[in-house]
Amino acid sequence: MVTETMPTPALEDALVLYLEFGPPLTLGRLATGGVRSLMTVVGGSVDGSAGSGIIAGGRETRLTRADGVTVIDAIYLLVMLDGAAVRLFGTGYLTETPEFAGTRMSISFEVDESSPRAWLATQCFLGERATGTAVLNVAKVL
Amino acid sequence: MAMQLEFALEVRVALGQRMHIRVADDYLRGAVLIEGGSFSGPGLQGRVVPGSGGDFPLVRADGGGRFDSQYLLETDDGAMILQRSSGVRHAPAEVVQALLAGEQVDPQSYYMRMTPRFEAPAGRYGWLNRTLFVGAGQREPTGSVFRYWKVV
Repeated sequence: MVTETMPTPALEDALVLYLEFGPPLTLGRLATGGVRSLMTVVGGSVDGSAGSGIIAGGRETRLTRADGVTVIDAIYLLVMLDGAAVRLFGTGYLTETPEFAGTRMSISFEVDESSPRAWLATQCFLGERATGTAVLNVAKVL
Repeated sequence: MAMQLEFALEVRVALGQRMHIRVADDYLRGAVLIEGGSFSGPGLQGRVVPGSGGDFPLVRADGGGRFDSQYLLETDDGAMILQRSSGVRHAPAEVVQALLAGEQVDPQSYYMRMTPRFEAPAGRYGWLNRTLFVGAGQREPTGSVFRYWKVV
């Protein structure tokens, strides 16, 4: 089978975001289904193989459906120590398994294509943040 | 980090003609309709519903880019599942040229990864609605092969 030649993805630590959240907000029940809530990111710091910097802002939103599934979308703005801006987009689910409880997201980045961090925009990433913590671990999909 | 990858699914799709929309000099939208296909994995197998969607890549001048796809899977026991996937592909220029020319290319020579999401009926397939996946892709002359791993 040709698929035997296909690469098998692996995960490699790339970034850690130490988030500072503001007070949570509940928007309410949507006509399109589910209850929408928001968590604003008011600050924080970032560190890892892509460099270090601060979290200039962002927001995480949650939609909890009647089937109990909570869909999460997040956008954070990072400003690295050299002044470059990096946007992080995440989308995923609230996960409740015996192994892990918390947020898990697929993550992509927007970054200046001529910057030393241009590779961030050409790879897939995954992230997870355990419930009760404000630390988002981001791994590169190899 | 607690995340581990566990194989979940392989999807094979047959692709139709590739169309392009030149939105701007640095913004070329492709459109490839899915003609059909099949999928299988532990506890999950069936067909790709013909004509149910396509792949809409954003192709950069250097051959890299992002792609967004959407189509339906139908399981052997009749459940319809909507699959939406977004991902990235990049490779050295000569590899991109070979891919665009429809040649058989070693899938290890380019990076093609995606994060599919599913909308499935509650019940036997409900776990697809709350599980994160990551996938790798292989472009073939007349189609694509995707393998998905669930994040556990």
